[in-house]
Order: sequence, then C-alpha cells, then structure tokens
Amino acid sequence: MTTQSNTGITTKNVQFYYSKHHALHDVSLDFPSNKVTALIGPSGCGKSTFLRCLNRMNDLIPGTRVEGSILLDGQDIYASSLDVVELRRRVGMVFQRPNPFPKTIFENVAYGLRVNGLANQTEIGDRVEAALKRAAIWQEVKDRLDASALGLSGGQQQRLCIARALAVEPEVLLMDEPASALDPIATQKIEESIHELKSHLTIIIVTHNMQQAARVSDYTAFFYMGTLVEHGETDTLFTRPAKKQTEDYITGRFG
Amino acid sequence: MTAHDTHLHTQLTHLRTRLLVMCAEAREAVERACIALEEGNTPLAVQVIDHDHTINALENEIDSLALSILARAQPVARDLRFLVSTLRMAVDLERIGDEAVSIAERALLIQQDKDQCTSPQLRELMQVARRALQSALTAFQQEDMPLALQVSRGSADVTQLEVRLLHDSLPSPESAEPNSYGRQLHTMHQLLVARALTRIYGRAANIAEHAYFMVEGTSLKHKTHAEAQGQ
Ligand SMILES: Nc1ncnc2c1ncn2[C@@H]1O[C@H](COP(=O)(O)OP(=O)(O)OP(=O)(O)O)[C@@H](O)[C@H]1O
Ligand SMILES: [Mg+2]
Repeated sequence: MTTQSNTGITTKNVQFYYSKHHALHDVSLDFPSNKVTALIGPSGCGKSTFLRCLNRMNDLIPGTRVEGSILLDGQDIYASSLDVVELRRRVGMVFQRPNPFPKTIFENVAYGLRVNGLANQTEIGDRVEAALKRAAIWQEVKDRLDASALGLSGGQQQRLCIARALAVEPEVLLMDEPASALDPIATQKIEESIHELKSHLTIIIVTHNMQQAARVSDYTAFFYMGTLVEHGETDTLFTRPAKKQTEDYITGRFG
Repeated sequence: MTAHDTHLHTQLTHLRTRLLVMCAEAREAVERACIALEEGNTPLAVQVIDHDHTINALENEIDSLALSILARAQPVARDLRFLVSTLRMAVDLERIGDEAVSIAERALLIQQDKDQCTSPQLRELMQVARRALQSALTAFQQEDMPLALQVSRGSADVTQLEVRLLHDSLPSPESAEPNSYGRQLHTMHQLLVARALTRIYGRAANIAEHAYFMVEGTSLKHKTHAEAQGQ
C-alpha cells in the first residue's frame, strides 16, 4: 500500500497480427514508472490492441501473434518461463464498461485477494477497505458492503472495478476508456483518483477524450493506423506538437 | 485523412476576421494621427480622437469571443496558440489606439502655434514607428517570421533615435536663439509625440513577438537573436 512502484514498461519494435491483419507496426514506447501515459488516436488505430499486449490479454484471442519485446521492470513478459497469472496481477486492467461480478460489493474486491491465496479475514477486510478508499468510493459504499454490486450506479461500478483491480496491488494499471460511459461528475472522480494513484503505480490510459488525456496524463502517445506517430510530454504535445498529423488530429482537423 | 471545418474552426475564423479589423483600425488611427500632425490637419486629428471608441469596443468584443471559445471548446496546439496571441494582440492594439489619440491631441495643440515645424528627427521616428507597425501586422497576418524578427530587433535603434531627438530639442548653451516660452512648449509637444511613437514601436515589437509565438510555439521575448535565428 505504501510501497511505491518503480515498475515501468519498455516496448521495442512491437508488431502485432490478428491472423493476417498487421495491427501494430514497429511500436517502441517507454512507460516511465509513477507516471500516467495516455494513448490517443482515431478509432481502429490499435490503442486497445497495444494496451492488451502489455498484460498479454491478446493471448486469449486465437490466431494472434506478437513480435518485438515488452519488458516489465526489465523482464520480458513474453518469456516462456513467465507466469501469466502473476503478470496480470502485476499489470491490472480496467475496461470501458464496468463489469462487476453479480456478488456483494465486498466480495467483488475481496475476490482477487482470495484467488491470490489470502485467507485471513481481518487482512482481507483491511485490504478491501484500503482499495475502496484509493478508488475514491469508500464513503459511498462503506455502509452497504453486503449489498449487490449491481445496485450501484455506472460511475460507482466503474470505481468498484478500479478498487477490484487495485486490491491485488498491481504495479501497473491499464485503463481502456474507463470513463467513456460515465457522467461528468463520475468522470471527474475517476480522473481525481488517477492523480492520486500515480504515486503508487504506473498508469496507461486509452481515451477518446482529448481533454481528458490533457488533464490526467504526464505523457501522451498518438497512434495512427497501427503506428506510433508521436510521443512526448503532454504539455508539449498539446501546445506544440512536432508532427502535423498530431496537430491535425488533436485540433479536430481530421477524423 | 480528410480535412474538415468544425464549429470551432468557424468560430476561430470569425475571431481572426475581427482581429484583422482591429489591426486595420489601429494602423489607420496611427496613420491619420501622423498625417494630422505633419499637415496640421485639425479635422483629421479630431477624427482620430472620436474614432478611438471603435477600437476599445473591438477589444471587448475580441476578449469575449476568445474567452467563450476557450471555455466551451478547450482548443489545443495551434488553435490555443492563436487564441493566446489574439488576446495579447488585442491589448497591444488598444494601447496603440490610445497612443494615436495622444499624437492627435498634440497635433491639435501644435496647430495653435503654426510657425513651428516638426523636426527632421521626429519625422524620421514617425516613419520608423509606422513602418514597424505595418511590418508587425504583416508578419502576423502572413506568418512571416523573418519580418517578425526584424521588427523585434529594431527596438534599440528607436531608443537611440529618441535620445538623439531629445538631445537636439534642448537649446545648446551657446545658442543665440532666444529660448522663448513658445519654443519650450513646442519642444514639449514634440517630445510627447516622440514618446507616443516610441511606445507604438514597442507595441509593434510585442505584436511581432505574438506572431512568433503563434507560429513557432516559443517565446521570442527573452531569447537572444542568435538563438532565435538558429532554430
Ligand atoms: N479480435 C480482433 N480480431 C481481428 N481484428 C481485430 C480484433 N480486434 C481489433 N482488431 C482490428 O485491429 C485494429 C485495431 O483495433 P483496436 O481495437 O486496437 O483499435 P482502437 O484504437 O482501440 O480503436 P477504438 O478507439 O475504436 O477502441 C482494427 O483494425 C481492428 O479492426
Ligand atoms: Mg479500443
């Protein structure tokens, strides 16, 4: 909880194929630890594909192939010796649509802890509380932990899913459009927790909302048709991008 | 990639049009004030003074347009730089309008003392300031960075010109000419006109800097010439 993650991710010359479809072309990108990096680009440019490469979620899709190297804290995540379950604990993920289990609020967050072999009830209780607090939803649910998670609003469900991802203490958190289905208040809450969370972890967020990328991230990477066009500090990218393609995209001049 | 015009870009185009109108108004005010002074044209001087409210109103209009776009569209990159430059330009243009008014006021006062004529230095300063303003506005409109750099570099020369004018305006101790009250007053008016012209030059240099910032995304203000040229 108090331990700071120093884990960053380094990708080099990543190629990705859905069978014959070449979806990512030679992507080399570093994600520094304790920073937020936003991935932006038009629909279909490969943001989600790239994000899923980072915790091997693409392995679940038949016929896919990855080339190049992806290192987590210097360690090749595609090495045959690597424990994929442990990788996904270290690199957590939050999806676009909140997907709580049809269980109690408490159980949603405790689930991952139990799967990871934790049995001590007090410790589980403490860690559930801590995770709910870090996801900025504790105040809203502390009196109804035994209620069904499905009774929460969309924004609350999404923060519950963030708590669920945080409970197992990942070092990296991948977020694929985590706020696209939420209202402005819920979005703001999620963005606030992103600011808080980065002192503990490395965050990579895919977003279609340019202003959101500008608000929450330290670095921004712009993808276009499976290639990385430009990557740099968010301040620079949103005030004076180096590439005309980036400028045209972020100012809404093509799409 | 297909380019297309969004609501934001229509608004930005409108804002740019209004800013160009303000540029033209400010330049016209300076031109008229200078001609009024040179030719002793009282009606023209009065016109400049009466017309200043138009420039003030344009500043307000541009301010609210720009603020509304910032609040509602959250523009980035070159759109953001254009908006920031526009807000800064509007401030400088409004002040240029004020300087034109003070030249016009001097023109009216000097009028009352017909036998005194404007000094050659003052006429030179007038030329330099008018040309600088014209160049700065062209640099902005046509995104001509060499021209912007040229205007921003000229400030030192203008200061020298003003110092020379000040020096020459004071009666030398060995001068036989009587230092009449009328002459002193005339000198005073000329110095105030020179001050206004120097300030117009300064504002023109600012405009050149805003143009540079808009195009290059970096500030010219605290940069050496070598740095600005080298990049
Ligand atoms: N499961 C899949 N099987 C085959 N092709 C896929 C699959 N998922 C994605 N693709 C293709 O790969 C490319 C990149 O898709 P991806 O979902 O990564 O884009 P994206 O940038 O996340 O888009 P969006 O912003 O719409 O979510 C697209 O051409 C898409 O059609
Ligand atoms: Mg996607």
